[in-house]
Amino acid sequence: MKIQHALLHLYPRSWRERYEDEVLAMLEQRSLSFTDGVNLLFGALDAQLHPHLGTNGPLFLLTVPILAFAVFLGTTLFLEAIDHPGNNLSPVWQIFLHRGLFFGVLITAAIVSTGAVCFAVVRSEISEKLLRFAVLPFILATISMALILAATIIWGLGLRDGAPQLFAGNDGIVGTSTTGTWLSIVIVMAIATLLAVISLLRGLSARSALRTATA
Amino acid sequence: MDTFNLGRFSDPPILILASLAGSPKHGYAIMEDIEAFAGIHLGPGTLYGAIARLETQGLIEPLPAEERRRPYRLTASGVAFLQKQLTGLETFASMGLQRLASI
Repeated sequence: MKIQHALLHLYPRSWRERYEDEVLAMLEQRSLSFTDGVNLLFGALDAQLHPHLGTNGPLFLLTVPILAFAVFLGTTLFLEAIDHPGNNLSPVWQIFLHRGLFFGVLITAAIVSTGAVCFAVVRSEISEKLLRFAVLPFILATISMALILAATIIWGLGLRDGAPQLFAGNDGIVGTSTTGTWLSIVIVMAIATLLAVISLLRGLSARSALRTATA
Repeated sequence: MDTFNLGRFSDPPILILASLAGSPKHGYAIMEDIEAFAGIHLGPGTLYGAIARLETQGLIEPLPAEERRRPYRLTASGVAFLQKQLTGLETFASMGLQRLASI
């Protein structure tokens, strides 16, 4: 029972005063499996993040994009700090650090942020009314994404015609080709916009089906 | 008993409320009951996280402890909430089945 006690000590004091005895009584009735141990560990994290359980939901996950952006910003500052002639890094390491780290952190931050927000929405106790309200900003955000995508395409094509020498250079992200960077940005934005449009259509369709079902 | 896995619709609070709809139960009995009727094992962290939330929201209430085990039962709000959720699911399921039948 030592491991059970140790795991329950990770819970907030108020939680333990209320539930510890009955949880221990329950755990005495069956052996603690590894998955149950991990489950208790996550439960402790949840309880620490929600000292007044039932009032907040997993909305703390909405801070993940901000934290991910902070990590990304820290990475770019780190890369800038080491980007000087006397850093004694071999060219291979330079490329690995600049391109690998930059894109690795960027992609990881994007995936983690998206996952955290999706999980927060799915598992949160946000009222249906508030979620319905979210459709309006979602429509605005999707339209904005489409407009920014169109503007980026027009800007890139304009640059190619107006200053082809700039477009053919290597002034893209972390010293990559300008054309390649522009194309990559356009492709990522196009995929993101497409996903947003699909999500919006699915959301509107589900809302309409639920309204019909509950009418 | 035949069971089926509720998959992503296995929301722990709903499972707990459905379990308590039968009779008041303590944590271990709730866990066993859910395993029996839904084929889902709720870990102790998930179970007590959901119990704490349901209690905070006034959907369940604790009864006097029996030794160290404390049973819970549905409140009037809990009954109304569960009724509403299950009715919604029933309506939704009927609509889906009707549409499937027309294929």
